[in-house]
Amino acid sequence: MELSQQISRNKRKSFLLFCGFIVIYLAIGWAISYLYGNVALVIAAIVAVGMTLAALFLGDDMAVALAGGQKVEERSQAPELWDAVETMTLAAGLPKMPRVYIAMDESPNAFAAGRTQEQAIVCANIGLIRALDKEELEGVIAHEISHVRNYDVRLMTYAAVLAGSLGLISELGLRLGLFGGGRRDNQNPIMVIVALVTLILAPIAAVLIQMSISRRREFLADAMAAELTRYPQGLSSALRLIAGPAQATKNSSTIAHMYIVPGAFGALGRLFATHPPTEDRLAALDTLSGGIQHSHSKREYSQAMAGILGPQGL
Amino acid sequence: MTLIYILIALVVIVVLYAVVTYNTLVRLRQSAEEGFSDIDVQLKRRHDLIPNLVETVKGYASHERQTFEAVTAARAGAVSAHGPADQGKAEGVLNQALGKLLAVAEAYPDLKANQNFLELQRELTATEDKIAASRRFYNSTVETMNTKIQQVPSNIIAGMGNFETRQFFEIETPAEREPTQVSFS
Repeated sequence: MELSQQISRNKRKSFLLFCGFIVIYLAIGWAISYLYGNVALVIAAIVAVGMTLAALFLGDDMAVALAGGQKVEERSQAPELWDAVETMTLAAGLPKMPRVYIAMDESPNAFAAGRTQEQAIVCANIGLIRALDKEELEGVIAHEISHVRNYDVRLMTYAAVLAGSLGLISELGLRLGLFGGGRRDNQNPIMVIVALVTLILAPIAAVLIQMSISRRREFLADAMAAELTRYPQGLSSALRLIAGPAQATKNSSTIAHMYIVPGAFGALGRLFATHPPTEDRLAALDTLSGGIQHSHSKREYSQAMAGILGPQGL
Repeated sequence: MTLIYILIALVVIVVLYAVVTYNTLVRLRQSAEEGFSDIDVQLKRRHDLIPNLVETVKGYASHERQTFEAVTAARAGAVSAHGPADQGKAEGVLNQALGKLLAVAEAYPDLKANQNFLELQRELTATEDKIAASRRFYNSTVETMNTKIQQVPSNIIAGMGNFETRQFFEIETPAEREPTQVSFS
């Protein structure tokens, strides 16, 4: 498959998933206002917006602190990592090089954070730099830079907070329902049951959508990394090397979803995984490397790049 | 009545298209300019590394005067060149001179073991990677922009807004002067 096709397909699917979020929000809004009136709905909306803002403005520093990242001030402290980040910043045409952090963790892993392109952070574990050669490290960093380029961090923060606040709101709604507080008299019992069931199912659906968006963005970042390095084999070889050992990353439960390779998938498996299985990512990269090798013309590259530069789906 | 509505709708669509296209062109021109200055920064960094490199090699191979002079002249040419086409050519000449310098260095084991020399060589390679990366971004932006400027119907908007196509930044390696040896074995 062509890279530009993969990118636009990813954008389309992310967009559809986000529309699903809006539908769920509307459903839960209806349920709350049906059961308890509009005042409760306004309070719920304020809670959701407040949580989103807090996560957006405090999220980056918290993530780096949790990972134990130390700031790299100049190139000489970590020339390989610094060069990889700078080269990929130039290839992606980012307005500013992200701040670089190293975590003294032996497991080979990395993540990106930051709500704008100017304030981005790339944090790599020391194990990653030790385990990979130059091309592989560039592939991993290109994946992270692609997250920055696509505003994925912001998108995923929104998604996480939307899902989280939905859970909170519907729990509040259910508790109120159980204790019968604030209920109005003239309600249709069937509709009350429908509203309560909505309150139960909505948060589950929201988490499923969140995970699904996340997996789409991972595929997209892989595809863009291939474009930035013009060498998909670098990233696929890196994924093969680090997929196993990277699962040992510390603190992986809190910020696992941010890393290029998350912690081991739980018992719920694929449905609740934030990342696609490594085999699927490798397969996608392999089809791309075939495509890139056979389409060395400038025209096709520029089409792919235009797909990346074009208006964002979200 | 219906006809009027259809006409209004058509006008709105045309105006919307014009605005979106114009803004896209402005954005592309902006990122092409930024991309070009990114290349410039990296080229300058490379030019700054070269005198050090020459001095280091001189310490071990002082009699290779011709090679040093060629590198210094090529560097001066590259520093003074302006615009994508000229700069691309000058960088190509510089590449060739640098290649010869590094080939000379191969003959001196002491030099190859020199920490300073190794560090300079590493930095030179890293800078060349960065030049390549920023050229990739610049060239693909320019390609997208040029296509938009030339294609119907966006060329109308480009013409009205005075958008001009840009040159690609290609580093051309000048053809070797020595006759090529052809072997039939």
